Amino acid sequence: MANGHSPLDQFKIKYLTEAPDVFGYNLNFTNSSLFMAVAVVLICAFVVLAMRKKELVPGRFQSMAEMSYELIEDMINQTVGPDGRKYSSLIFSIFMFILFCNLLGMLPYSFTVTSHIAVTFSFALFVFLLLTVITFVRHGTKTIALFVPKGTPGWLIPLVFFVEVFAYLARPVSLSIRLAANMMAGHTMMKVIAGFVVPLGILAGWAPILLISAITGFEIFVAIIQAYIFTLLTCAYLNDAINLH
Amino acid sequence: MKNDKDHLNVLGDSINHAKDKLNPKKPQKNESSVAFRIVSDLIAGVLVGFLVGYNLDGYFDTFPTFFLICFAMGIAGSAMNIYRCFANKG
Repeated sequence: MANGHSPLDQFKIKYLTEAPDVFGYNLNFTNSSLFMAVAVVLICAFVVLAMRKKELVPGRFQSMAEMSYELIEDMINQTVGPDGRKYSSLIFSIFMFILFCNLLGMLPYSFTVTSHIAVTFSFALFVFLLLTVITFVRHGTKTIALFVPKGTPGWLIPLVFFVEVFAYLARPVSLSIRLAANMMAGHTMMKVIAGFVVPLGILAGWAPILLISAITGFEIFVAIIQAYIFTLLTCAYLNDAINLH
Repeated sequence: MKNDKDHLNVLGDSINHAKDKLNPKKPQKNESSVAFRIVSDLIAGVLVGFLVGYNLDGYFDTFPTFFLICFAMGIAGSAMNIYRCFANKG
């Protein structure tokens, strides 16, 4: 395959600056950082501009902003309860950032930040560490109840404890793998199918185009649902951290 | 003014009530996302077990004791996560 036409080329990190290493770290501004910055700017613009007028009967953008906020608010109320409300800004930021990164990736010639496990894992690790700290601060030594489910027979406690610890450690890994794999799989599939168009010629080449149109719709759905699932699971873990199951 | 607020609250309640009647909250199941969730849980547990065990062995120089133990624990842990995934859906 010619250079630049591989389906995996879209995930390449490109340096946009040529900064010298600082203490051995490469601090170049990359296309990934660029799209993260764009996502942040777009989120701020969306929320600030949409809520500028604050009408009683919301317009299109205002109701979009309100709906996304209410979605998170409802999610927290249902999964965590009233104690979780003070974390709603954190959960909302996570949701919006992942959603915008996913959706930005759907634009042609753009870069999908969330298709890189480095990004999603840092996210998941941040959430994981934060929730662990919250659990310890709130419950102190009672945190151990998180690893020993109620009704465990005495002789099984050591085994169950270690199994639960591993199940707990697996959380950020599974969160990040899920998001990155979903985004990467979808985008690769689209490029692979797009690669069929020219070789199939003018007669049969239309079939992949139709398929891509359908898949694009599906990918937008996946982009939204994955942001939702990441947030929902964060809420579920927050519930564990606050209410200990 | 207060009266108006009360009226609005009553109106809001009845709107919510009507909404609930129209679309009773059923858990939205999306089969492909459930499948992906289980696959990633499966991979994550095994991966964590492998990494923890392998690094512990490297540290204590006891290969393959910790590796085997942690690998088994990791698999059990991912099974636990998958079980929870279904149990919560219930």
